[in-house]
Formats: sequence, structure tokens, C-alpha cells
Amino acid sequence: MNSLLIYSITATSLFTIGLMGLAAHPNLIRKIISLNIMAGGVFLFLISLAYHPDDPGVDPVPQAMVLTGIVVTISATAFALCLARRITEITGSSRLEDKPEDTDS
Amino acid sequence: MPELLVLIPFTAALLCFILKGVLRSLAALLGASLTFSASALLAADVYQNGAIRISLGGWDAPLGIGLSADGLSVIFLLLTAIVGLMVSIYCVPFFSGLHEQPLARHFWSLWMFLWGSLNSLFLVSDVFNAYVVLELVSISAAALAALSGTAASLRAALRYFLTAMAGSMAFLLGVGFIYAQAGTLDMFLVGSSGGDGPLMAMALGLMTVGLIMKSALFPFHFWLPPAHGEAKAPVSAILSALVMKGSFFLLLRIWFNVFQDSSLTVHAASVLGFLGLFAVIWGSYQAIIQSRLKLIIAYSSIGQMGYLFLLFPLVLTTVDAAWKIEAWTACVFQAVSHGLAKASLFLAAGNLIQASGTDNLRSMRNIAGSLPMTTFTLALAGISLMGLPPSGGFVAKWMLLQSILASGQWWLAAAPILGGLLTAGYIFKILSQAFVPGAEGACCKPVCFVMEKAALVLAIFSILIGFRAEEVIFLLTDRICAANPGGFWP
Amino acid sequence: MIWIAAVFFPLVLAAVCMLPGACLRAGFRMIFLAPLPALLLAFTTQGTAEFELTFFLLESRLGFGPHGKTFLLITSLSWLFASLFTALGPRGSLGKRSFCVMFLLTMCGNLGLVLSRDAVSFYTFFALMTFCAYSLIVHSKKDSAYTAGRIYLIMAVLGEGMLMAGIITSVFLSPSHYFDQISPALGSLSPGHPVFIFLFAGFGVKAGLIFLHFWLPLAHPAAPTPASAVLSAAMIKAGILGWMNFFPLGLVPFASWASVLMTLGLGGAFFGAMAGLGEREPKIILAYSSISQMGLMVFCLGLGFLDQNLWIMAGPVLFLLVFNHALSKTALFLGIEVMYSVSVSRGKKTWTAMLMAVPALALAGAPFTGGSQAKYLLKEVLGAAALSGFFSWVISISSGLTALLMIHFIRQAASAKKHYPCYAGRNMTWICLVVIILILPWIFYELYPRNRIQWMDPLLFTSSLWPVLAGLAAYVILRHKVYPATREIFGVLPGSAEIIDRTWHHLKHRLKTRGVMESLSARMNLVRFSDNFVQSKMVQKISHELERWFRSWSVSVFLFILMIITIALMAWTGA
Repeated sequence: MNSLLIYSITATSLFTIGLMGLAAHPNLIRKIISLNIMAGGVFLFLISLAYHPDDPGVDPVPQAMVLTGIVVTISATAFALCLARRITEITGSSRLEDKPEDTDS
Repeated sequence: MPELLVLIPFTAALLCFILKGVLRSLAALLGASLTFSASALLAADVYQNGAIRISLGGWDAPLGIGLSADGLSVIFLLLTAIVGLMVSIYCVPFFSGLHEQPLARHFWSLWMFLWGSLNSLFLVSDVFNAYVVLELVSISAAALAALSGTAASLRAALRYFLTAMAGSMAFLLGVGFIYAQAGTLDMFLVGSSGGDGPLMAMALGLMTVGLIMKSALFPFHFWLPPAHGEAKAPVSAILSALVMKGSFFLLLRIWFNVFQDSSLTVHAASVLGFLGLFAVIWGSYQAIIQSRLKLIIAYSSIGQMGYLFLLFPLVLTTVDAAWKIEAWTACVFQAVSHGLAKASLFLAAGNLIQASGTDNLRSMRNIAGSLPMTTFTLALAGISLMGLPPSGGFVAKWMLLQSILASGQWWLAAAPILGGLLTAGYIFKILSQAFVPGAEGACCKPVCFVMEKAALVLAIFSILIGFRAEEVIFLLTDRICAANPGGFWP
Repeated sequence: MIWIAAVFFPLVLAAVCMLPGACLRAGFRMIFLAPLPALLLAFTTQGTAEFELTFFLLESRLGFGPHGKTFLLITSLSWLFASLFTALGPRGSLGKRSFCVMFLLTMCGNLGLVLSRDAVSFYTFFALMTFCAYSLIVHSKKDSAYTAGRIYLIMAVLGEGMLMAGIITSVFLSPSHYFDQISPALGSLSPGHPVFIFLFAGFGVKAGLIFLHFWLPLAHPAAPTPASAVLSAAMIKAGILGWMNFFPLGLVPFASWASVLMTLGLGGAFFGAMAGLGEREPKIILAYSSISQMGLMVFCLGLGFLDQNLWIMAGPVLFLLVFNHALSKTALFLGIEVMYSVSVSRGKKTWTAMLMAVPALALAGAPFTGGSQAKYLLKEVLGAAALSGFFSWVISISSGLTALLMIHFIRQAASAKKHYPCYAGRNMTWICLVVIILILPWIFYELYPRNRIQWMDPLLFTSSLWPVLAGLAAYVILRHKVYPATREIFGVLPGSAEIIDRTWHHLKHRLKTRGVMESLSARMNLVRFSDNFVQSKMVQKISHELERWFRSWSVSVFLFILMIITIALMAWTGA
């Protein structure tokens, strides 16, 4: 049936998989990758909006959105990676989950 | 005029990154005062001539970027300008200290960048640019939170950032759903073309939850206390007073501009109201049981933000327009007076920490004797948070109670009543510690005069705001965006 | 402009007093300037004038309303004399910054609440007055003052709580927060509505209504004399004013509330006078006399509740009672200090006692005084209400009791063995005040020309003279019995104040044994209190676990998805 439904279901599944990854993996790098998977799902959905079956041209707006979105995600990922590296340098652990004595703030 | 509000802070951010020493402070102060004056001028313009809308570089939507300033955005811009100016003045002596000096370069450029992003957030007029600006705000805010460089603050910042990123992703997915359904991104046009299909319902859910995650509504408040508690005092002030308000402002735009014509929001509003009620009680309760000063203030932010979310059930279930305006005004007053009072509290906490060298409330002794002005500031800001007359917080809570009574949702009244009592609890906890006499010669390092004054000015503003209800109501009723002739009011 | 000055000029002087050194000294000497703008306003402005104060709170409105002008005149006069008396005396303990600033803040609250025409600013000024008065009460820093202050504060907080509930409900029930719309809106309710109970009890605490009065004989005498004078003369009237502003007086008959007010009022009038006879300290006698006189005013207010037409008659009588009591009570309180200061010379003492008899006789309602005028008019109102027979006698008897109490008071004041330094300025101020009380009936003609009475009417003359003579005769006969007898009767009953104080001490003891109280002062250490609460393992564990639970990633992601689905579904069902 209509392709929009397929794309949106795929996108939502990717988004959910990314979320699950964010929850399940204690490792910081994996968390950041999970976020990128979420972003991938969202971009897939956005780019699929550009295609109209009865219209020969493509809609430029979603493409512009995806391009901008990719730039934003790249810089955010870079920043998150920097933070993660610094945490690993200081604490020697690549996890966010604090040790039990740190949790009571 | 609106573009200047974005341009000036961004330029100042670049200059602060390049320049050194006194020149950097000068550039920062110049940028801050120029941005402040530009905000004030824009506010005066909107107040006199009505809402403004421009397209950057002459490109029209959908490809260009539009900025629009109406009554609501002007109020938040002014809040940002006042808090921003005072924090900037506070930070000049703060970052000339021995330990803080190396951080000054990054702080100033990030803070100016954040200020510019916040201004554009309040001016944004389409949902996709809202996403971009939201990310800019999150990145610079998380970087500021990580500024002190300790392991705890880095972890807190990364936790905050990952949460914010997930929220942004949900928001962007919602933007996609909106575009698929309505074919436009303009905030003020979606409402009339979107309808209320399942895609729009999903978009509402995704965008709302993404935004409430960023504004730390219960139960998504987990990232806030470490992030605000571990950051430097002026950074905490910025995060609590402004950044949280940014995502809340966007939520208002989404609910009352984007979805204003659909009937989607009526039932969902009570969910937000419930969460707000829980946030008020849980946040204030947690604030009482904390033993570190900055954590008390951070948890208090969660509680105080909860009041704002009572707006949704109040506005969307009342039929009478007069009570809607009352609820709106209450919410805006709460946002503004909380912003001012909280910034002042965090700055005063910064003074205390600098004077006593500790964040632990029980080891602070004889504050009232050594820092009388700071104690006075704490008391004034506390009055506004508790909602005692004649502060801005009192006007907010008074109007809130009145509109709760009018809407007949009695269970919501628990928020102002219980919240007020609990707030009094933690404010008195801070203040009663101030008068405990200390050991001889135990305290304290001197605190710069300017830093005490900046906090005091903010506290006085949070009291004085209670005297100007009329203009706020005028801005909210008559100066709502021109592109949307109906305004917020059905 | 004069409106703003009338309310906020005391704040300007308070700011001057906050400044160090010479400014405080100058502020102390100029303290009598503070009520002058208000007095000027009361004299110069038309009776119905209003002033919109748009920048203050929720668009406040200042104005006289139906009865504000008289009240402003009364309030500012008694503040003027109290502050003149302060300024012309020694600097001593009254010259301290805490006293000057708090005195001026209390004055601002009192003047502001008289002029407020909306509920929000009325409440704000009322709270300002109530809580600032606390520091006047404990100013002497004696143990007895702290006890009195503590009971005052407990009652004040209870009263404020009920007021807040009453005011919020009443504003909600009416179209706006202005008084001219509140009382008609409340008039359409049934008299049993809880809002009336809240307002009645909330203002009743301030007005010293019997059963809510017990803080009053402790608190009023504890303050320094000028502060006692305004507490008893001006501030206590805020309760009456509050009832008049909120209750729909003169709009609908409220027979049930009328009977409650009349009963409690008469009860207070008799109880106050009798209990005062059992005391020896002059200031405490005066405080009990205030309860008694307030009882009379409450009775008169109750008459006004019976019927719209009666309120038209009873209103001016009430104002005259208020006026007479405010000025006489100020004069009596200030007179105590004057009496002590001239106590070395026997001749001067006799003169002072004779001058002191003027306000005392005015209170008792001797011929040619405001009191007799008020009581005569009150009997006319009773006649119009067809309650004349019994109640006229009751009023006359209460006049006789007041006369007895006043003679007791003058005797106690004159025989006290206290010697204060003498200040000519103070004595002159006091004599001026006594003269004003003498000409009070003629001032009142100017305000309410319709209520002129025939002084030479022999019936009026005898009916106002005999209670005073009876009181005098009773004193002469029972001189040696009356004090011990009443002491015995009223000493047996444990005072409610004592019960509250005992409860407080019991609680304090319990808390102290748990380490919650600071051992030296009565101040509660809230940090330790909350720490005790926090350190109980249960509480700590539960809230700690919950916060950890919220912080874990899987819970937050689960909640994230759950919330998205909930909101989307709710939205979908709403559409």
C-alpha cells in the first residue's frame, strides 16, 4: 500500500531500537551510537517525505531538513564523544553509571 | 530589529573567543548590554506597534528562516535580557578569581552563544528551525555544565546531553509527522491545515514528551539535580532560569499555536497537569531533604517548573475567556518570577560557596553576620518563591488559585497549597542556617561587592514584577502574533 | 499623589531610619511626620474619592468607600499622638532602629488597610500590620513579653490562615477583587456559607472578640506604651473594618449573624469590664477595657446586620463609638506614662488624675461626652429595632461597669510607685489630646450633621449621668471587696492563654528532648528538625530508592515511550 506507511513504520522501529540501545548499553560509545541510530530513523522518514508518486519532481524541503539535521547531529555527536573521552581519561571508566557511592548526591 | 538579537551575541561569542584578558571582559559586557538594549527596544516596539515578523535575507518560507516577535516571546526575551545582563555583570569578577581564570575564555564564548541561541528560540517561527535552535541551546548548555571539568560535572553534563539529544530526536520525528500531514512547517500555518488525524496525534505526543524531557518535568527530572548542582554558580543560574524556560516556551508555541485549531490537546492536557502537580510536590519535597545548598535550589527548580504545567488543563478545559487569560497571566508571571528569583538564589549561593568554601549547608555558619546582603537576597528571592505578597510569585499563585477554582479542577489546588508549604520549608531551612552562630574566626573569604549586588538586583526585580500585571496582560491578549489573527484565544 | 503619600510616607521614613547614625536619630525625631499625609488626606478629600493604583499588586484601588474617611481620621489621629509622644520622649529603648522601623511599617500597614478598596491589597496591608506588630510586642525583650508575643503570633497565624481562606473564596465568588463588588456578591449567599465563618473568625481574632480575645490582655500591655496605645486604639479596629468591608452590610438582612454578633458583643462587654476589675497593672486593666468596648462596637455592628434601614442608623453610631474609644484609649495609655512622670509632686498628680478622668468619663458615657452621645444614639437604634426595653438597661449597666473599671484604673495608675523622668513636650501632647476628646461631639457633628442631639434634654442628662454615679457609688462602697472578689472569680478559671502556653511548652519540651530545639532560645532549629526527619531510615531509603529508580536509563526510556503513547492516545481520543 502507500509507501509513506512503510517508511514511517521503519523509521519508528529504528527510533525505538535506538532508544532501547540508549537504555540497555552502559558503555558511553554505544549510547552515542544508539542516538545516531535514532537520528538515522528520523532522517529516513524525513527523506521519504520528499517523494510524491504523482509528482515528477521531488520536494526540496525535506532534503534541506535532512541535510541540516545531519550537520546538527554530527556536531552533537562530536561534542558527546569529546565529553565521553574526557570522562574516560579522568575516571578510567567508559560508563556513565556512577559507582554506588557517587549516586547519593 | 529581531535579527540583531541573534547577531549581537553570536558576534560577541566570537570576539570573546579571540580576545584576551580585560578586552574579553569588555567585549562580553558590551555584547551583554547591547543585547539587553536590543531586547528592550524590541519589547517597546512590539508593545506599541504589535507583533513583528521578518524573513532573514529576504528569503520567504519554506526555504528562508523567519523570525517573529509577539507578546509572549517579548516577555521571555526580556526575562533573558535581565537575567543575562545581571549574570554577565556577576561573572566578570567571578571569572577573575584564581581558579576560574582559565575557564573564562570558554565560559564567555559559550554563554554568549547560548544567549544568542535562546533569543532565536524565542523568535523562531517554524518547527524545523525550532529543532535546530533547540539543539544549539542543548549543546551550549551542556558544554557550560561541563565547564568545571570535574568527573562529576562531566558525567552530569553528558547525562544531560544524551537526554536532551533523545528529546530532540523525538521532537524532530514529530516535525516529520507534521510535515507529512500538513505540508508546511510554519508554526502559525500548521494549525489551520493539519487537522487532527493519527499522524498529528503522534506528532503531538512525540514533540511534547521531547520537550518535557528537556524542561525536566517529573518523571524526567533525573538529569537536572546533578547537572545544575555540579555546575559553576552562574552557569546553574543560567540553566535554571533560562534554559528550562526555553523548552517550556517552545511547548507553549507547539500547544497553542501549532495545535490550536485541532481538538487534540483537550484530553492530553490533563496528563501534563497531573505531571505538573506531581512535580511540584516531589521536587519541593526532595528540596527539603537535601543537605547541599545547590541541590536544594536545583530540586526547587523542578518543583517551581511544575506550576507552569498546570496551565495546560486550566486553559484547555475552561470555556470562559476571562479565566483563560487569568491562567495565562499566572503562568507567565510564574515563569518570569521564578526565573528572576532562581537566578538570584543561585548567584547568592555562589557567593556563599565562595565565602565559606563549601556547598554543605550545615557547615555554613554565621552567614547573616558575615554576608548580610547575601542573606537579604536569599530572603527576598525566597519570598518570591514562596509566593508571599507583594512579590511576583504571589501574583502568580493568586491568579493560579483563582483560575483553578474557576475551572473546577479542585485537585490542582493541591499544587499551590502544598507546594507553598514545602517551599516555605526549604527556604526556612536555608535561612535558619544563616543565623546559626559560627565558631570564632571560622569564616570567611571576602566576596566581591559587584557579585552581591547583582544577585540582590535580580531578587528585587522578582519582587517588583508583582507590581506590573497590567502590561503583561496587555502583551498576552493584544500583542499575539500577527500571522495568526485569532491569537491564543478562541 | 496625596493618596500614595498617605499610605507610603511611613515607608519613606522607615527607609531613613534604616540608614546609620544621624539619619536614625533624625528619623526618630521626625517619626510624628509619618501619619500627617494621611491626616491631611482625611481632612481635604471628598468622602467618596477613589484612586487607582494600577502599578501595585493586581491593580489596587485606594479610596474611602462608605466608611473609610472616618476610619482614616480616627486611625491617623491616634497614630499621630502616639508618634508625637514617642518623638518627644527620651531616645532610650524607643530610639532603637528595630522599634522605629517596625513602628513605621506597622503604621503603613494600618493606614494602607484603611484605604484599600480591594481584597488583595487589604490582605497585604493587614498581614504587614499583624506581623510587624509582633516585634513591637517583644520589643522589651522580657520573658513575659516573649510569652505574650508567642501567643500573639500563634493566634495571628491562625487568624491569617482563616482570613486567607475567606478572602480567596470571597474573591472567587465575586466578579472582581474590589470591595464594591465583593459584598454584593456575598450578599447573595446563604448566611451559613463557610466563607462567612472564615471571615468572621479571622477578623474576630484581631477585634478581640470574646473567646478569641485571650492574647489581647497579654500582648497589648507588653509593648512600649506608644505601641500599646495604637495596638489598643487603632489596630484592633481593623477587625471591625474587615467585617464591614466583606459582609454585605446594609444590602441584605443577616439575622443569624446579627444575633451571633450581638450575643458575643454583649458577652465581651461584660466579661472585659469584670475581668479588668481583677487586675492591678494599669495597662492590663486598659486592655480588658478594650475588650469590653470592642464588645459594645460588635453589638452595634450586629444591630446593623438585622436590617438595611437599621444599618443606616447604626453605622454613624458605630463610627462614633470607634472614634470615642480610639481617642480615649490613646489618651489613657499615654496618660499612664504622664502620671508616672509627674508622680513626685502631689499637686500635679491630682491635676493629671483629673485630666485623666476626661477620657475615662468619655468611655463611660458621662454627660457632654462623645460616649454619652454614642450611647444615646445606640438606644435610639434599639428603639427602632423594637429591642428597646431590655437592651437599654443592659447598655446602661455596662456603662456603669465601665465607670467602675475606669475609677479602678485611675486609682491603680495614681497609686503605682513608679517614677519616670518628666518631658514637657509629652505632657503638652497629652493635654492636647484630652482637649480634642472634650470637643469630640462637635467634631462629630461636622462629620454626621444628621445625628445632632439635644444636650440639655433632662432625660438624656439623667440617663447618661446615673450609670456613672452608680459606678462611682459602687466603687466607694465596694472599694475593698471588688478587687479580691473578681480576682477570685476570674483567677479560678485557667486562662485560655495559659492553656495555649502550656501546650506550647509541652510541645517544646517534647521537641527539645529530641534535639530539635536550640537549647537556649525558643527558636526552632528547622535544619535539625528536617534532618531528624530525613535521618529516619524509612524516609531516606524510600525517597532515595525512588530517585535512583527515576535516574536509571531503562526506567526513563520506558517512561519516555509510555508518555509518548499516552499523550498520543489521549490526543487521539480527544479528537
